[in-house]
Amino acid sequence: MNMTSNEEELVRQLQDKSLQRAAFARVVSIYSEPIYWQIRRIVLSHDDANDLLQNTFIKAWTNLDAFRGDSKISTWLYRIAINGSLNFVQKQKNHFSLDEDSSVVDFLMSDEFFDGDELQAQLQEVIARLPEKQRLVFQMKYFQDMKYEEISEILGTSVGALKATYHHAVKKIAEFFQEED
Amino acid sequence: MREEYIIRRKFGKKEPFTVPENYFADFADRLMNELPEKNAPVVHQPAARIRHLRYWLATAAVVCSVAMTGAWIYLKQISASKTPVASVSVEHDINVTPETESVYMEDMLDYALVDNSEIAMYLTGSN
Repeated sequence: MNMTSNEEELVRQLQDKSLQRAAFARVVSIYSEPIYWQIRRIVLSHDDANDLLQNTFIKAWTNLDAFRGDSKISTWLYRIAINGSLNFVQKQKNHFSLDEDSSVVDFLMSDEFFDGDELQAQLQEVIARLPEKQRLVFQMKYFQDMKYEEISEILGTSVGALKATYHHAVKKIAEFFQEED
Repeated sequence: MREEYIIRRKFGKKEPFTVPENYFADFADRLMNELPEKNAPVVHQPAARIRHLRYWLATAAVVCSVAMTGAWIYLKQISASKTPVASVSVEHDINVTPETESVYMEDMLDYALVDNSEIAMYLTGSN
């Protein structure tokens, strides 16, 4: 874990009772956008992503005393956000019935906060059908350009295993669209 | 990786999701307004202490009242079974010292739980 001096200072302020509220406001303004996109890719709907983003920061604030700076702030927040989102998806499993063809496509095409075409909606559908780990690794690597080392810290998986997982995910997605063509 | 190239060529890296206008700009303010105050003094602590104190006082009061009731019943039983002996003792000591007589008698009678009617019955020799 490599923290910049700015981040170290922010962690120090988060642990100081008199400064932590202002420091936490900085954390929210820095990390809300990347954390939001991570959540949004998992749950797809903006309203759900908004709720989960709020829950993520409220949970982080509530458990701030337990954060000792052993990991980067972003890693800590990603873990909270991903766990919350996966639990949410698990509970909402029936929301998108993946047995039916194009249920994600239908949802996205009628969503006012989706401005892609049907092909892009289909990509989201294929990603949603991947096993959980493959889906997460693909989204973090492909869309977010995260380094394997960072993904490894967040997901607690070795870099070697992540590379293999990403390779499988990419292969499945490419095969699906090659067959379509 | 050839497969990654296929995906990249077909979809690029642009994400098709959008958010409401000014969503990220407003989010931090909205969240910070909803965040509970962390450094606020914890109000429930003194109340918790008082609750604990009340609990121990109530427990002590119950224990004391049970002990006193038990002692009272025990002494009453003893006095009931030993009344003749106490009477003898009173009879024996009654002439010792006139100054201390009344004080001594009161203590004895209190201890033996003998009331005035029993004394009167004893003195008149009636049953």
